[in-house]
Amino acid sequence: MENKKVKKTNLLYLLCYILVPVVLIFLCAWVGVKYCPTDNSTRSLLLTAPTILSVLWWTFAGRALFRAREKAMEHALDAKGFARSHTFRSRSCIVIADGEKGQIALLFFWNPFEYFVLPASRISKIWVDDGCSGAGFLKGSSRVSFLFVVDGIKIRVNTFTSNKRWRMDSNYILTGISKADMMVDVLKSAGAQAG
Amino acid sequence: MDVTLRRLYTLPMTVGHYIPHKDAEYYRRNLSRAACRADIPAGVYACEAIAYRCPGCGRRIVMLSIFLPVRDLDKWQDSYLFSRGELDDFLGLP
Repeated sequence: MENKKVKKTNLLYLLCYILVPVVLIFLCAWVGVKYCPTDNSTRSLLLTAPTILSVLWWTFAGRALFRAREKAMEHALDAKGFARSHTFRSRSCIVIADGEKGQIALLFFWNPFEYFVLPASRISKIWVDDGCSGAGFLKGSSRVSFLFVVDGIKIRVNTFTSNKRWRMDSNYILTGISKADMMVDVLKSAGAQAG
Repeated sequence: MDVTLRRLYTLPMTVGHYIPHKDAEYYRRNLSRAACRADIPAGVYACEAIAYRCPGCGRRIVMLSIFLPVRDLDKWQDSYLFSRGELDDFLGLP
């Protein structure tokens, strides 16, 4: 995975993640209607069980797989001598920096089967988006993130998200900005280390 | 109360990893002096030590205010008062 072009989304995984449970629900429903027309208990089981399993899959399985792949990536990085000096975990992406060698490792939620290790010097731009909008008493934000561009691909890593809008001096927003500022400094210093 | 000393320190804790400590010994071992606010790296907790002295009775109190500096704002975290001279020698108070 080293020095490979960064790919944020594995389209096959994305489609499987969304569509396989849907196909399973329809398949089981079809089997229930076709082969068990008189057996109501089996037919209702074939209709409800895949639906419940699908909801569980969409709710928990993706995240569990992502966490498992994160552990695998950390073991692989440790074996390669990658010094994990800073790790930032968001729901969509994990960024790990090696401040000594000036490298970063990336793992994406929608592409959990491959991780990317690249010199931080390949980052062409890094900035913080505090999501601030509105004026006066309406000024606030519901998302804080840091963004960076690698090989022309923009990667956004959220440090705070909410379904509500918060004032810019709220503790949530300040914590999010602080985390984003820290990661920007970490990535910049790793880039300087890489030369 | 008169303010006799005001100093800025950094703590070895970063944002998202704050653990409260009430023990003065922790601060004696882990506070690092920061010359000014601009010297504190992003995402690192800061601590302002303020020593007060009562002009009437001479009693001293040291207050540690722990906060996270975020650009031009501060996210206040904790404040601790030490009134039994626990930090006097560390701060070099007479």
